[in-house]
Amino acid sequence: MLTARALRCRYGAFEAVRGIDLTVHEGELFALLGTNGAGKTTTLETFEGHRAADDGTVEVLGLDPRAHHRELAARTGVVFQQSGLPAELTPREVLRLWSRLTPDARRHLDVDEALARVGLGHRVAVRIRQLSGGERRRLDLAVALLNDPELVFLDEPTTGMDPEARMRTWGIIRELLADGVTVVLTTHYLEEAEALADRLAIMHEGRLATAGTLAEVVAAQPGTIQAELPPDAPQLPPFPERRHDGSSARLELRTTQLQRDLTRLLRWAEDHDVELSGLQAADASLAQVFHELSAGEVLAEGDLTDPEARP
Amino acid sequence: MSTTIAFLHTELTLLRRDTTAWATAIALPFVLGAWWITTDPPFADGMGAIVALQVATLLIFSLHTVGTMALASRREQLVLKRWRTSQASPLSVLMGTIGVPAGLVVLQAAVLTALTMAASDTAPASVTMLAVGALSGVAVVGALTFVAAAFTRSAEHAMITTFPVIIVVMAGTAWSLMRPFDAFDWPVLAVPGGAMTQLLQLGWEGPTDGSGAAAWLSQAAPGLVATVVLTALGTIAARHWFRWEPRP
Repeated sequence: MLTARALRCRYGAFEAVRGIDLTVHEGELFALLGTNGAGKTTTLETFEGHRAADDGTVEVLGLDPRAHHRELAARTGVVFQQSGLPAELTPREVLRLWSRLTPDARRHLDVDEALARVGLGHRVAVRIRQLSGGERRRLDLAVALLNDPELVFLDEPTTGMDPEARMRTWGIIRELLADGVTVVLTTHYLEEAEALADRLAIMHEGRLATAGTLAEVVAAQPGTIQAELPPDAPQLPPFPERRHDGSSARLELRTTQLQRDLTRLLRWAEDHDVELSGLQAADASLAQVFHELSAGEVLAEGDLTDPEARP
Repeated sequence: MSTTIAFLHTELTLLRRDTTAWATAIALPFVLGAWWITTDPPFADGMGAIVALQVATLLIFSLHTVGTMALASRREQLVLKRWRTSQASPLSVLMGTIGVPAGLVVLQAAVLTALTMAASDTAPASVTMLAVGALSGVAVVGALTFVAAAFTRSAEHAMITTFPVIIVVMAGTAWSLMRPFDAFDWPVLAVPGGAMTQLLQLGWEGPTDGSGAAAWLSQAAPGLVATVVLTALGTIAARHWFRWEPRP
C-alpha cells in the first residue's frame, strides 16, 4: 500500500529525514509519532507528493507520488497540520469546489452528509473564518473524505479539538478502518495512537527509533518495579538495572523480564522476611517509550515497520 | 480545464466578498480610466494614447496589485498548497487564481474603450489590434505578477512588492507615449508597458505606412516580439522563484 526505502529529505544543509525504511499495509492505521522536528510532516509530505525525496524511493498505492500526483489525488485524502481553506468561503462551497477538483474519484459523498458526518451539519453556510479551530479541523477532515479515498493522510487531525469532537473524529477514523481504508496518522496525543493504531513508529531526529504494534513497541522497553525497603533490609540479589544508592529506602528496578525479576524480588523478600511497602510493577507505557527514545540515540537500522524485513 | 473553471468561479466569489480588492480592482482603475477621457493627460496625444493609459492603469491595479495580493494571501493561508492536493495541475491552480483579475482587465478595458469611443465620437482602426494590445499587456504584467508574488509574504506585504512593476509599467507606458508609435524603438519596447502602448496606439490610429495586412503586421511585429520575449522572461523568472510554501 505504501513503502519508503532509504528515504532522505533535506532543507539546505539540514537533513530532516535520514534514510528511513517504512511499510504500511492495506487497511491498517499506521501512526507516526515523534517530537517536533523529528521529520514526521516531511515524511508525510513526501508520501503526499508535495516534496521530492532527495534520496531513496517512495511508492503509494504502487505509484510514484510525484509522477502520478493526479491519479493519487483522486484516490487519497489529506488533512494538513494547518488548515488551508479560504476564510471567506463557506464549508458547503469548499466541499462543492473539492468535488469539482477531484473529478476522477471513484465516488463523491453528498456534500451536506459529509459535513453532517463531521458534526458541521449546522454550520454549512457560515464563513470559514467564523468557525472555531476545532471546527476547521473537522472541515479539513470532511474535505479529505469527500472523494471516498482508499488511503488517508492525517497530520495531527485532532489538534485544537475539544474532547467530544476528538471522540467523534476517532469514531469516524474507526469507521474508515472498518470500510478498509488505510490511514497514516501523525499525532502528538499518545493516547490517540494507543486507541487507534494497528502499528506505530516513533521518529527521532529524522530516523525511525522503533516500530511495531503497541505491544511490541512497549515490550521492547524495560518495565519498572518500585518498592520501599526497610532500613535494615539485607543485601538484595543482583538485578541488571537497579536504582538504589543504599542511603535511600526507595528501590527501583528496570527490567525487560518483569515477571521473572518480580518473582525473584518477592522470593527474596519472603526468604528474608522483608516487607516491601508500596510495591508496584508495571510494563513500560507508550509515554515512557516515547520519552526514552526521544532523549536517546537512534541505533536501529533497516525497515523496522516490516516484520519480515527486521534486522 | 474544468478545474480552472472551478477555481475561477471560487476566485470570483472571493473577490465579491473582499471589499478592499473590489475597490482596488474595479472602482479605482475604472474611475481613473474614465477620468483620462475627460482630461488632457500628459504625454497622451490622441485617443489611442488615452486607451493605452486606461489599459496601463487597469493592468497596474486590477491585475498586478490584486493578483499579487491574491497569490500571496492564498499561499500564506496554505490555500495554494491545499489546492495542490487536488487533481488540478499547478498551472490550473495559478491560472484559476489570477484568471479573475486578468479577465476583469479585459472586461473593463472593453467598457472603457466603448466609453472613449462614445465620448470622442471616434472609432479605432482595428478592434482586433486593440484586443491584441490589451492582451499583450495582460501577458507581460501577468508574468511579472507571478514574479512579484514570489517575493511577497502576505497581502499587506504586496503594498511594497508590487511597487517596482507599477513604476516600470508606468515608465514604459509614458516613454512609449513620448515616441512615435510607428518607431521601431527597441529600448522602449523592452520596458514592460512599452510594447502594449505601441500596439494599442496602432490599433486605434491604424498603420502609418499603407493599410493592408502587411502594413499591420510589419508595424505590430516589433511589439509582438517584445511581448513574447518579456512574457517568456517573466515566466522563466516566476518558475525559478515562485514557491508554494509560505515565505518566511
